[in-house]
Amino acid sequence: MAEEPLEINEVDLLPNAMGATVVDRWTLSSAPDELRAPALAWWPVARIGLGLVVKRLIFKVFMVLGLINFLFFSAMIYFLAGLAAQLKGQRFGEGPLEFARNFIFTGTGESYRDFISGQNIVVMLLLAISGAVLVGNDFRFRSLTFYFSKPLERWQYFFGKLVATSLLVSMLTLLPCLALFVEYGLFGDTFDYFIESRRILFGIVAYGLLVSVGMSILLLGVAALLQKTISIVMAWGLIFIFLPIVTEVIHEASRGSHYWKLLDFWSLLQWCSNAFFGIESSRFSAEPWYPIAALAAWLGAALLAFWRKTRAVEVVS
Amino acid sequence: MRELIRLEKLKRLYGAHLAFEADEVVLQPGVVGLLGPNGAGKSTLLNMLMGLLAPSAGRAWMLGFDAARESRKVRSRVGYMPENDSFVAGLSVLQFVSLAGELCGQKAVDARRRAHEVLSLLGLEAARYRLIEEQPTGIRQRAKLAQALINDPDLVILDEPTNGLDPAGRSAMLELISRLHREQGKSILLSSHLLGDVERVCDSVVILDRGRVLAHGEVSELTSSPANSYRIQVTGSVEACGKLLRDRGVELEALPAKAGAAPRDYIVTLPAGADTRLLFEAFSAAGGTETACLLSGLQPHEENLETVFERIVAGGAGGSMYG
Repeated sequence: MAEEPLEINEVDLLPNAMGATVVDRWTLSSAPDELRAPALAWWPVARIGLGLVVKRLIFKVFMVLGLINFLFFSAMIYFLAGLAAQLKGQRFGEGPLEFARNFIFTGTGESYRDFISGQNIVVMLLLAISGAVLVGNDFRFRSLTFYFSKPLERWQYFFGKLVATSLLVSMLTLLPCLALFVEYGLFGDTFDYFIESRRILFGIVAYGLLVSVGMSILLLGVAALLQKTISIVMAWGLIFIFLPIVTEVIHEASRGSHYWKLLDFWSLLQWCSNAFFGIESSRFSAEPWYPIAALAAWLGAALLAFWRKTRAVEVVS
Repeated sequence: MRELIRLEKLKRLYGAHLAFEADEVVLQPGVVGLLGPNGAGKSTLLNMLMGLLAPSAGRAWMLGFDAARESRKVRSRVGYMPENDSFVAGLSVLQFVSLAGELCGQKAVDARRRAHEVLSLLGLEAARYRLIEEQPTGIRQRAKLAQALINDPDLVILDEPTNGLDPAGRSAMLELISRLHREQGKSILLSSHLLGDVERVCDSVVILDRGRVLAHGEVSELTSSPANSYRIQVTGSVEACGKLLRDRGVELEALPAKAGAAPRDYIVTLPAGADTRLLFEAFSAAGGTETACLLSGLQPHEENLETVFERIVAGGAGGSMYG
């Protein structure tokens, strides 16, 4: 007589399976032979770092804040394009349109620079909150011991963290700015805007990358040193709020000496953005190598802090 | 067979402080215990073996690779379970173990598959999707072991693996370690100050103290007692009967005593063919003298790792037994 077929999952209830223990399941296949290139060992560090921030509610809140600004600009471009199409050929159409263009979004280097600079505020807040998750916790929870007991070099750990943070910043600055550039170009009558605005495109990419990488390096240094969120927020406030106010006051008191501005990270970024977009500005007229050297000093100090903190970690505590 | 570890005139100094020194040590594959009190140099040695600390002098090889120059190769063939919790906060147990696989070069899909296998092997199926930092000690310890096994290492370094575990958990962990060697063919370097753990699972040991390798060898060799060997306790000074004992061909070794106190415990080895009557005769002969000492205890001498360790560490740097 044929046996009755077992119900689904009934096999799990057989007496032999009931007796299964950890000891009985002592099988382990060999590790895969096909491995990733050793030079790419930074990638899991970056992916996990980014994932840890992205899944947090605070990241979603700041992304929404950043998107509001982006959507406003995007809607304005769309609105102006629609308005231009409707007023085309009308007697008094050009006047209001020009007024609106000058007031809202002009598609010039200044517009994109101001957009990224506006986003920088959100970026600053996001990084202050997520610095501990990205880097600080690795020190507090001894994750570095775990990382460095694997075939991972220190520079790969640094690079992975840098990529994670830079991608985070790019999502709020470089990428939406590029989207605005494309949108503005597409709403024109011809595609000449893309050809004529190569300098603007260069400015967007260069300034976006500088903001992403520069602020990321600064965060890595501060977070490695201070580790806890509250300490990072306070240091961030010192760098991005207190120092600019103090340097502005001293700048005024010293009858416009620009050298104090070298302490202000925002001013340094602003100077670089003007240089990238080819914008003349009288606000900051020091010798060109001064702000470059000051920016290098800021980032060098952050790198040094990060390097020293990671060097001090041994595999056994 | 490839050597597990080779140290040649290896030395590490922190300023003028000697953190570790070993002339020549060769360890064969198996389960090796690294024993020593705090500050003995265990961590320094592990750091140098992992290539994370440069030696001040000499060289170290692990699995045939130069630990300083081929550190990456060493770390890709070694699994390391640290003593302290070292997690990536915010990850589940599965993500943590998968990340370990990816850091060892495995592709994300392969690492995840392998992580499932290792977690099942260690009985962590139920905990795999839970946040690792929220798990009890036993699960965290096994998760640390899982991440050490993810790359199918030739050598697993375990630093105090039974720390914080209850007796049942400790026993299970030691059984797991034994089976890793017995059934998976892994070599294991077990750093611990729990002599019972080491004696239970290790084939050989390295005993360290104050930065120096005092002894290394097979556990069975270190704990083997000479035939016809006894442990005696005496009251008074044994010097009175020491000569009588030596004259009768008895070897005498004092065991460490409390600071400032005269030794009370001795190990005596009788000449071939003699029995304990020899001892009684010697003590009886010394009984009439003014500096008499009394035999207050006598039992067959059986060494275990604890007595060996105490004797060697108390003997200090000069007490090297092997190599």
